[in-house]
Amino acid sequence: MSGFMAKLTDRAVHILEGKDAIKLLQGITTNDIEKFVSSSQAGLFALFLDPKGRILCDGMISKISQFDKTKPVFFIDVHKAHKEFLEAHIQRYAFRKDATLHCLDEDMEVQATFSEIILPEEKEGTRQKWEDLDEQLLPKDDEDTLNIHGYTAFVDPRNKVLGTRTISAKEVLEIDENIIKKDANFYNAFRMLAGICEGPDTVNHIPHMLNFHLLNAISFNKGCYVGQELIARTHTQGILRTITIPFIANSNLENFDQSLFVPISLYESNDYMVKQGEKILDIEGKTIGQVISCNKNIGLAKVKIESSEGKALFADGVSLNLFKPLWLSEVYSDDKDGNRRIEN
Amino acid sequence: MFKLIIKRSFVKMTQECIQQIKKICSNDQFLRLTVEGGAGCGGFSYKFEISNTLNTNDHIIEENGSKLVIDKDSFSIVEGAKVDYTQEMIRRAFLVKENPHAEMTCGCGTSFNPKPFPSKKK
Repeated sequence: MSGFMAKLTDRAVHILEGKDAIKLLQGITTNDIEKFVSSSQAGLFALFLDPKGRILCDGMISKISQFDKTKPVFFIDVHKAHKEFLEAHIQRYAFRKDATLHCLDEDMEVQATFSEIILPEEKEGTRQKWEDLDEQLLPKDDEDTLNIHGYTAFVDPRNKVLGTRTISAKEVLEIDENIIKKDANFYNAFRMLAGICEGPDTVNHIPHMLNFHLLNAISFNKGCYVGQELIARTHTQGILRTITIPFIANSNLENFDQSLFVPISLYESNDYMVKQGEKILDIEGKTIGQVISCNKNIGLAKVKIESSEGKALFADGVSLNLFKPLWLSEVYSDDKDGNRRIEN
Repeated sequence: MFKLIIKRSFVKMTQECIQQIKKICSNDQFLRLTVEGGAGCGGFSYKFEISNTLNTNDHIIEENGSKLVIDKDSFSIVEGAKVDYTQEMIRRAFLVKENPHAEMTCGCGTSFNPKPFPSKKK
């Protein structure tokens, strides 16, 4: 049992400011940005969709520590590969709106603290009570020079297995020596083992197929936003035939400890890299799914629900072990056809 | 050689629209159309309002005494479209139709997604 901390060097922090920032984000993302105003919610995971409902980009939106709704300022961290996209996207939709985006890639960083067993006790997305650390972490003088207002830390709003997320100026956080330092790759393997997809791997997929409706990424009662028509239709239709679950390549799951939320010890440095988009075949050669992403021996697969578990499966000649993360098996109820009903 | 370029620098109004503006606007009032970004299912939405203040750079379209006013920024992405007034069971409203700048219009017709702006092309 151990705690980990990783610098998410693959994320780029942006700051969005202007009095129309809330309205703008409300109109182009899947999550309900008003929650920042009406509650203590400090972080929201949201998707940027195209008008047809496909994912263009995903991002973690968080409010700054001294949030003022008349002059809202948000952090948006997206995958580095989406940096240019986000800038162009915001610029396009900020038509006649007061909202500007600045990239703080050079000055700010994202860190995640997580563990295979310990779960943060606070509700997902709410701010951690780290006030006593506030003073030490960011000296007041630095605030003006960096044009940022302190740092922000919150429990990952997607799922508490992902631990807490901190957005701060570079090199200001001191880490307890009991916490093991890891890199972004390790965090990503951890995230994949939890069945959560992120970054460029999500592009062009339908949010429901990547479990995003279960990851607090979509608000179903916020009103219109870009891509809402498809999302609402998929959700009210109520039946899903595909699901995204993690796999471990070339490994047996016999000593797999079910009590671990995320069996990160199975992450190896051996390279079994399976290509993204590779078909997943069962022993008879029938296609049952597709590899969404892969990092060393761990990856995510989008598969047909009825035929995914307890079978020998292959992709690109490598044998795969698919399993359902604990939190996901708690949420889903199977019906007779093997399809999953969305609880409306 | 001459090349004839026809510029669609207008926004049309249908008869129903002209009639309705006449009906609801007094002498110095007019119908104002604005396009707002980051709103509606399409990302950009049309907004109609009755107003009597003109700003600089406003485009004025006048027909039979009915006035439609569009500001410069909005005009650039509704140029060539048609403004109609529909009376259906579901609603009675002014609508923008056949906007050549719209790639896709949402189900209720109040928002649209524009084609990429020409200036942004690489």
